[in-house]
Amino acid sequence: MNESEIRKKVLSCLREIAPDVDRIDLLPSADLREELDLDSMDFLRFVQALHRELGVSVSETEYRLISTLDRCVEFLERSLEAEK
Amino acid sequence: MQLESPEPRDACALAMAELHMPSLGSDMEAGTLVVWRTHEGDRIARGDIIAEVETDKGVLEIEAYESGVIDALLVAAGTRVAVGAPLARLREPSAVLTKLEVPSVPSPLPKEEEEKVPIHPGRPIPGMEAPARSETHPPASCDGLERFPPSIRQRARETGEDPWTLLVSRLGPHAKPTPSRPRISPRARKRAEELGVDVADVRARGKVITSEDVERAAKGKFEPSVIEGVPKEMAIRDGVAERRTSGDEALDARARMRRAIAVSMERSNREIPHYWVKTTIDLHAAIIWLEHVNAARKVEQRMLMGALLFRATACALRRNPELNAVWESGTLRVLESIHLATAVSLRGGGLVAPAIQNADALDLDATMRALNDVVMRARAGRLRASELTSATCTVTSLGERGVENVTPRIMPPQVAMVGFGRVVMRPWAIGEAIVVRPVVEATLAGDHRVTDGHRGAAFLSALDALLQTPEAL
Repeated sequence: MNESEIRKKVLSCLREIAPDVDRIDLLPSADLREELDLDSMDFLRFVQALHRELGVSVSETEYRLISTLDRCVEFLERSLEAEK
Repeated sequence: MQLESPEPRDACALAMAELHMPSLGSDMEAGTLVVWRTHEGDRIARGDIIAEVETDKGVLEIEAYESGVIDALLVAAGTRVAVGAPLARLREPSAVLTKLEVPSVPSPLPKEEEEKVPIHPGRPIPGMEAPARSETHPPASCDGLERFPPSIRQRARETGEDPWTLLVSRLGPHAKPTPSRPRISPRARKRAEELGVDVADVRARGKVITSEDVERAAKGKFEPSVIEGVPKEMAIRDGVAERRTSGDEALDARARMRRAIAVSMERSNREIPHYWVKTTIDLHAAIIWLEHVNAARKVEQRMLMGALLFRATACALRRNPELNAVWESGTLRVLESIHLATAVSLRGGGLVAPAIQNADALDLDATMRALNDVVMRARAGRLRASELTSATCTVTSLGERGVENVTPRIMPPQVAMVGFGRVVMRPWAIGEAIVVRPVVEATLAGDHRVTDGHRGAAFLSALDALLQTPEAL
């Protein structure tokens, strides 16, 4: 899966929790929780969606590594590479 | 009501019944049937969702209160239907068709079960997840009195008096226990089902509940968020009342919800003399425990601190039953069942507080699943009517991005509300040393007609103690 496909997947997972994600001009470097007003339950559901869609499990200690769209895509790319 | 069906069938299939528009609010006169979720010929069980109805509280899912086969849908989607008017005709109405599978997410107990199995604190309730912790499987010598204060326990053991009556008598002449098994006439029971009134909410004038008692209860039926007091010609938009013009006929859903909240909060402010007590709780033990548990689990089984706080609240309420009550028309009803509501903020504004039934009977995992489920459905607009009308107490938690503390406002007719602020790191004294600990501020709002600071403080103390031993939750 290339970077842009991963990005699309991440956005689709975000859309499940925050359907208004497309209307917000989401800066790739902005904090996802702040920008999309996600509470801990929303964020957990996002992490569960990533696991379901991409097979990558993000542990609680790794949450800070997926705090922005860019960091999230990077993290997932690395994880998927490592699995190969 | 018995009708001949067109084709010859056996005796039990000749009976027909009707499902009616239930009352979802004390002043609700009508609702709009948005969409049917069942079809003619469908076999439905009691508790199945049959339709979505739009009310001032948004779109709610309506459950069938009888089982049977849908004979006819009497109303088209999009129709505005008066409360009590028939929605569908059912054939073969019978308890035989009740669903056999146990729901994995808690749902209101079917009435037959509620009557057969008295709910004892500490004993698992059939149909619910069996709590895994020893706290809820007490030793054989337990007599169900542990949830009562020591003075009542003592008296009840010595004299054999009913502990609920003792508890309630201490609360004043206006207080009444919820009758555990009210005797009700068949006609009154049918009327209660038609109007969507829980038999437990009905006060009998005489020895037996009559349909007049039911009608009275339906008119005064309590609502956690009440729509009342706003004159029909006024519209409230964004908190500002303005005279309704002819162009305002269709208030949008958000404005109506905002109005419902406004009215409920006004009523709370007007009628409930509040007191507040707060405490700061060290969550070090709870966080460490939760981290360990989650690290060993798959991501799908992960639990949030919010679930621990919710569960601890339910347990603390069990030990302080005067806080789990409703006040309606000058009478306090102390309830045995704990239906704990969680305040959910909706994206784009708005607030609902759906109840999780029998919250004290759910272990931590079941609590997490129930919270997840109810939050998701609240945001998707798929709540059930029963979830909005059955709350006995509410929790509001502003999460880790909110403020440090909250001073909640009780949602009438409840008599208490619990608020949690953000978990923050603070200097903390352990003995004579200063350490840094994650702490949370818990606030209890109480109705001063029912309880006072002493009871509130006892509740918070119980809450604190429960959170120091998270493995026992």
